[in-house]
Amino acid sequence: MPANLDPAAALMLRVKQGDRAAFAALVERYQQPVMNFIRRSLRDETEAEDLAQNVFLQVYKSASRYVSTAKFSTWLFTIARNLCLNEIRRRSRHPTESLDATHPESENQPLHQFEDKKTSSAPESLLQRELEEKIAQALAELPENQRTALLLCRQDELSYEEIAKVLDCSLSATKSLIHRGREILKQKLKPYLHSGAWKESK
Amino acid sequence: MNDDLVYQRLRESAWRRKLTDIEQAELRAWLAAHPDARADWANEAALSELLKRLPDVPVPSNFTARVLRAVERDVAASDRERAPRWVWTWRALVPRAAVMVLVVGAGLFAYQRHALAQRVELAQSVATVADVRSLPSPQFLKDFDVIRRLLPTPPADKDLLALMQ
Repeated sequence: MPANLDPAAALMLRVKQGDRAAFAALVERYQQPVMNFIRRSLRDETEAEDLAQNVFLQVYKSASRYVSTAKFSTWLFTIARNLCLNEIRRRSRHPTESLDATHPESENQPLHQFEDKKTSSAPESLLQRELEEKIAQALAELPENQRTALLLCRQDELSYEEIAKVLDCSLSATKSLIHRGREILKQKLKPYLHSGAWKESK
Repeated sequence: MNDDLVYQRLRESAWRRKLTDIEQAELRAWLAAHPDARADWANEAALSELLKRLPDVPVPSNFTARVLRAVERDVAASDRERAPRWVWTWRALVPRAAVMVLVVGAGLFAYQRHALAQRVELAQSVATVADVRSLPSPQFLKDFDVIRRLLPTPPADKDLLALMQ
């Protein structure tokens, strides 16, 4: 085993030999970044949890195909992205019911009613949640490849070259995707860019 | 403006991390030469700050346990699919096979006992016939009555005869 082997890659080599403890350690270490990526890609909390579980299940099942020359996080996010793409394609074939649909017996009553959780919270947290929601919404409206590029850009472990591998495109194309995605976000989030709320909340 | 390679390089670095002191000096010099770019740089920096401050999404506390359980279920399902059917059904068939062996064995045993008894009976019959061959031929019996008359008869019962006289 090379001396400069990525620690996660070293764990993955143990997983290849059936080491369940090593696998559990990988899950513990990467569950947060994977959940962040999937949750912001799909926006559905329950489905994001299920899909995140499937990512790690796929990691385990594909352990025999892992090679130590590949950085583990690159391989992991490639799996995550592919599962997200599959889910997006599945949704496009089976669109869900609109949340704005009205009740069949009364046009004034919405079909789905949800508790407004914001009404009982302090103003600062309301503003923070509004900002988070606006960012999440703006991200969700991006084309998939731009959104994925931006979300992967937030992963400190991944270099631009590794992000390009996950996206299966060139380095220059990857940077172009990030740039275009950011330009759209700047337009959508213009009212919030210099509001200062983020500076006060942290 | 945005096509300038220096600005592009510094912008791409700022997307991922804080600029080093040298890079910040380089940026200041470039912005001094391109003041129109200051607004764009300010927006870039603000967006980076927004994205950086996005909170982590909540992860269930039992996430790892759920993943491990899913792995266990998948491994068990794979083992069942990979195992040859005869191995899988072997556990079900062993008791039945044992009963079949017993039944067949008992049947064979009974058949062998019957065959043995038949052989014994046959042997006895043969032995009986073999004994019959040692008897004299029927020619010897031709004058049986004559010979029998010639054999000494029991002596007369004189007392009886005296009484009868």
